[in-house]
Amino acid sequence: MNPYKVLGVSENASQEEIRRAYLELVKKYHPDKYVDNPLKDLANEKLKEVNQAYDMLQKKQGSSGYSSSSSQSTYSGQYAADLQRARNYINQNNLNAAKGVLDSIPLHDAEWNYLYGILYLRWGWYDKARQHITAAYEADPGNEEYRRAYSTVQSNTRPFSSGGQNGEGGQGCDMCSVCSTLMCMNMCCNCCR
Amino acid sequence: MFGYVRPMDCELKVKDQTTYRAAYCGLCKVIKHRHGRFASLFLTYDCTFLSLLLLALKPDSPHCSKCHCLHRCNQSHKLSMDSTPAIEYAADVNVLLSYYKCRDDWQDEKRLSKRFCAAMLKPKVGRIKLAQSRLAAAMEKQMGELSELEREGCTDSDKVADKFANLLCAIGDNAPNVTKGDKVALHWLMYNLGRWIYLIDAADDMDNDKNKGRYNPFILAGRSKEDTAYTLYQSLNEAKNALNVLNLARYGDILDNIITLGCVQKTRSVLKEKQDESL
Repeated sequence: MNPYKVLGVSENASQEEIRRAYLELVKKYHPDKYVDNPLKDLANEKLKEVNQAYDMLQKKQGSSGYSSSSSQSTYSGQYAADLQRARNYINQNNLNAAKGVLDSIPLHDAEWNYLYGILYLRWGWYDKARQHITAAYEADPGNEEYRRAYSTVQSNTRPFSSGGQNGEGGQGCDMCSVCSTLMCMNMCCNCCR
Repeated sequence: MFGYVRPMDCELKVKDQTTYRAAYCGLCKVIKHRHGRFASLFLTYDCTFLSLLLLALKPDSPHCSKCHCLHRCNQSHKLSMDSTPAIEYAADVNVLLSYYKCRDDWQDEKRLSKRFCAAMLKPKVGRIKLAQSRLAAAMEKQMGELSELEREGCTDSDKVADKFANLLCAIGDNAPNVTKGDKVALHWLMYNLGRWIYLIDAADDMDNDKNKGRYNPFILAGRSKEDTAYTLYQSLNEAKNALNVLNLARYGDILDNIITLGCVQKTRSVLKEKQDESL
């Protein structure tokens, strides 16, 4: 593997350039963008490759980059075993089996709607996915997982938004607002004199 | 259903514009060569995208040569790409899609001109079916199921769009020279793009279909504009994610422009949202 090629920089690129290219690629393949997505593994592969290349160039041992983690949750109640089975199938990307299990459950509670929503997201049926995830969120707004999925399907009515998971571009204090604040203050000071 | 997948010209670099035009002219030339002048009248932007996408997945870049035809005849340096298996495949797909579209329009609207076009294209389609039997069979199947659902008046936009999306998947799956690593991502890209094409076409025709009382999944389902926006943008979002993980050897900027700018611009104008300032 040629680490320079992976990162898309020339062989005499500076440390700063390499770092910038690395961060750009991490953003591109970030696991958050591929959460409920059949390309999760591919994106993970790519991210691994990018991390490896960066590590090679940094001459460091051990990964300092980003990696993805999977969440586990536990169930209780009458259909606990079935729901857990459906969730496992979805994690394994065995969507038909997951649908079979979910269809056999007569109780359509929040978790059932959530899993169905995730299933449809992976399937590519976004209209249905949105309905189910919204239903799950409305039934149990306190659940962190539902809330995250709900904010994803709400925020994506704009093109190529980040999905509202990492709170990018929020109310931060960026250069522009600092400058404009200074300018305003300067104007006020001039007025007073 | 055609002409939605195209770049946003004002954001395209001049070199990329040249490449795009070369691909467009190259595709036209290959259709003319393989299927005759009449078939080349049905040249589409969508298949230009397909040929660029397939060319980008190959290690060697295509050659270009000077091109002479009446279109843009005032320009002196007109380039067109030479024939490669990827462009030939896109040419076949173009003819197949135009044939199915004409046949569909004839059955739905009973317009004689469409019947004439379908009849003219039929012998070419027969020839393609011999070479691309799996692709043609898959397309025939999905088109059949799609018109079946439309006739039933299916109110589930996901279900109807799934048929057309699968048709595009078949196009991606049967494409020549795609490495195993790219197959999955290409499949997902084609699925989401297919969904978007079907749904944007439905959203675009909504007023027209309402007046004429024709089938339209959005009218029947009565979904809000926000729901429509979500499905359309989410499809593009996922198409972009798939494009990210493909191993593109070239044309990354053009393909990116088409998905993230061209298609979004089209979605905005169909949904009558505010346009970008750069337009």
